[in-house]
Amino acid sequence: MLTYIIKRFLIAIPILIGIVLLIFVMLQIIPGDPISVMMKEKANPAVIANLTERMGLNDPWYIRFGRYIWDALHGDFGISYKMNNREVTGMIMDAFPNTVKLTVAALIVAWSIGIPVGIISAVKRGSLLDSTLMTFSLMGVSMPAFWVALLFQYIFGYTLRLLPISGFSSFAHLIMPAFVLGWSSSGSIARMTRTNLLEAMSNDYIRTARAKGLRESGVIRLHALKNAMMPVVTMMAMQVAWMLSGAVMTETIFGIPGLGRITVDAIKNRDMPLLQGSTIFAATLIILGNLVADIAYSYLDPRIRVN
Amino acid sequence: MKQRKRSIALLLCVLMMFVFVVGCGDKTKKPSGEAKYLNVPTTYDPSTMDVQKTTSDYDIPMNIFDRLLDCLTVDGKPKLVPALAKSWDISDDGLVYTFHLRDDVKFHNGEMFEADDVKFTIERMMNPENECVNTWFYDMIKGAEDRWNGKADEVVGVKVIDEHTVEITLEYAFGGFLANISSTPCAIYNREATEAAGDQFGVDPKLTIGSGPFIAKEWVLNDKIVLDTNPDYWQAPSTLAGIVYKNIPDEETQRMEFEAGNLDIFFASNAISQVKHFQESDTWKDQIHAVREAGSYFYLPNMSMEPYNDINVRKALASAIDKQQLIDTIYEGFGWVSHGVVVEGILGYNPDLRAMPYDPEAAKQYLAAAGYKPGELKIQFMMDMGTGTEYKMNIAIQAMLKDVGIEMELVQTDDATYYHHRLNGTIPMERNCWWVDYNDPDNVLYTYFSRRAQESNSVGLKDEWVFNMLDDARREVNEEKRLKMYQEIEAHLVENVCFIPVFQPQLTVITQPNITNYKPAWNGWTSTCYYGVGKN
Repeated sequence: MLTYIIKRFLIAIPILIGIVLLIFVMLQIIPGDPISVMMKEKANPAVIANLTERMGLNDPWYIRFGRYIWDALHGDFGISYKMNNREVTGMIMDAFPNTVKLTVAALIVAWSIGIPVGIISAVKRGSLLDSTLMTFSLMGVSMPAFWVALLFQYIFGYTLRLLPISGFSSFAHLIMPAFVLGWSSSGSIARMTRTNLLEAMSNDYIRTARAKGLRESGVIRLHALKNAMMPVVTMMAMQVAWMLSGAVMTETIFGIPGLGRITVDAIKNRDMPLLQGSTIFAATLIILGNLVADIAYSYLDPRIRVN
Repeated sequence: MKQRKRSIALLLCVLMMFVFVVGCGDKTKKPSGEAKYLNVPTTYDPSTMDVQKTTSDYDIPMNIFDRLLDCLTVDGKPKLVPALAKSWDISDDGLVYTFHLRDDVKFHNGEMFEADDVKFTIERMMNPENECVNTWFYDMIKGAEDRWNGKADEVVGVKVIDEHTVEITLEYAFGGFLANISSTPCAIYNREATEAAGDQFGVDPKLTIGSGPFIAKEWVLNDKIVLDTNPDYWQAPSTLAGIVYKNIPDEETQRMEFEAGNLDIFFASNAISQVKHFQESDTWKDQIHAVREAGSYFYLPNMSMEPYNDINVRKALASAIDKQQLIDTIYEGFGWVSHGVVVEGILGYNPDLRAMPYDPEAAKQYLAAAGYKPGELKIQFMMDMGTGTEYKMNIAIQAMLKDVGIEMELVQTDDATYYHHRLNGTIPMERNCWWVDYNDPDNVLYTYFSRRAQESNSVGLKDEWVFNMLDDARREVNEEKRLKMYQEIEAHLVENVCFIPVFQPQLTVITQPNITNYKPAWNGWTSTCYYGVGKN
């Protein structure tokens, strides 16, 4: 098992370097000039020259790339172009805990709704309950997060005054965004759990388990669910990574100071150090998410480890 | 049965937790009677609180710093009033300004304000190593340009006479100088605190020291900025406990927060369609503050580029745009058609000035005079990420131009690309806007149409008469004569369609009924100083 994990981890390293290179090169070739953003129209040519020199923008791209990698390995992603004299690493690290809080809360919502709904629908296949639950999960998947967010804000925040409308300073602030973000994910988890569970239930080993005299709940829990969960686990791991890299719409509408917000601001302002830093951070999380999925897979299915 | 009981118990626990959490409520609210924080919305974080390094993020600096003079609304009109300078003398030739400074002003770090702080502030701005962006507020001071270009080690025009007297000598007599130094970027810094803060001045609230009515306390990126009231303010301390700027990027969320009582101020100009709702509300109909903004929207054709170098093309464009329709449809009627850039409310406003009226038939004739058949002229407008209303306005104009036979393509870029083009003079045509920093026509006319402005704007003007007149008007000491010169310049620019005036908007601000003494800024900016505002 350990060898497998190490192997998977080592494969992740060249992928990450490739991503960093790709992001770096892409940001270099698109038109636009960071100095223009920093100084706007009030620039003095001498100051532009100083600034260009100080930021190392005169060096060829491969020198800058090497320097960037070296600094990044030391945890230094540079200084933001837009946010005067602020370190990118600090900005990301300030935003990340908020995104983690939102992600964890949203996942609790998504999984605690999605998995039971998927199981119930599969067990009660074809019933009215199944159709109702699947309709709700389809709604969860189909309704855009920003719309659900505004609807929730209006109902629970503005009309009923049960929850804060925006902000992120207490646990109560977390509930609404967690439901908005979690609900849309729960829909896809429920549908996937249902499909895979139904498929697993039609296998011979289920008939054997029933023949052994196991109760139906035992059959589902011990035999069917473990096999049915593999693709669901992959999806859930990807959802973790996706949410951690910043749920932009949810963060914007609820005014949450998370990673999604700083990434969008960085794009808008061509704040290259911040954009590179946040993109690389997000890419790392997605690679880690994949890694966790692979490891979970191998735990659930020993054949993967052996092969 | 046992399992079901357990499930019910679990469900009850979750419900109890939910009720507990919700019941906890907001602990930051103070009981009535105590000074309270004013909750103000913002849609984005400022890049810095150091006003020498930003050309737009003035909200915080207005509240934490002081200037030598202030421009306040007195009897509905902007008026220059003493601030850190209690009085001043101007030499007969208009070149030397002697400021007599207050001796009772304390910076937030306890240091007393002295003349040396004024010198330090100006030196800091003009030191090229500091990479400041608001240098043009001081570039008329003797020796300032040389310092900025690295030819001198100090700004020779600023002399400390004694602890409380500072003398500023100008390179040339500049009639708008007092108004100029009353603007936000001319905030006075404390030498000791600013030097000690280094590059964290404006970034770390604890190191960002001013002498203003509020003290920077906390800045949580993309969340909030908290200012506390300065108890030692040289005027009486504010009755507020402080100001909390809440960063809420979504305007609809802002409105709900305002209506729920969590914001004290709502800038309805950002959500103009909501104004009607507030006008009809019993709670807020008497809390609507409206003021003509001292600025306007206008279109700038790049006169160095084809086809905009042809005056007939410019005239065709100006006649094709129905300004009133833009105000009515996009801004819900909250604005006035403008005929120049020095609009009503700005010193030197010319009520007789008339820009080209909306006349689609005339537009077609100008187009024909320029040698274009209908549908033959294809032009580009450029805009940055901008706002939704700016985009709508461009799209509406696209349709208006199509009606007269001009095909307009709207190119939208990110901010970096936009400024790159702007700096290189390659923006073909764009919507622009200017709200004056100080109450003088120089502020807008010089900014766009001076010789120097052509290096960094995409106006592309090559009119020596305008350049010389603008330089001469700056140097004219007689105010009446000076304002007349600006009116002449503006009329010339309008006649030659060097810009297409569109409209002057209205600032609409709604406050909660318990907010007292709120006055919109004289220039209609949403950025304002909240000193004097109260909260019951």
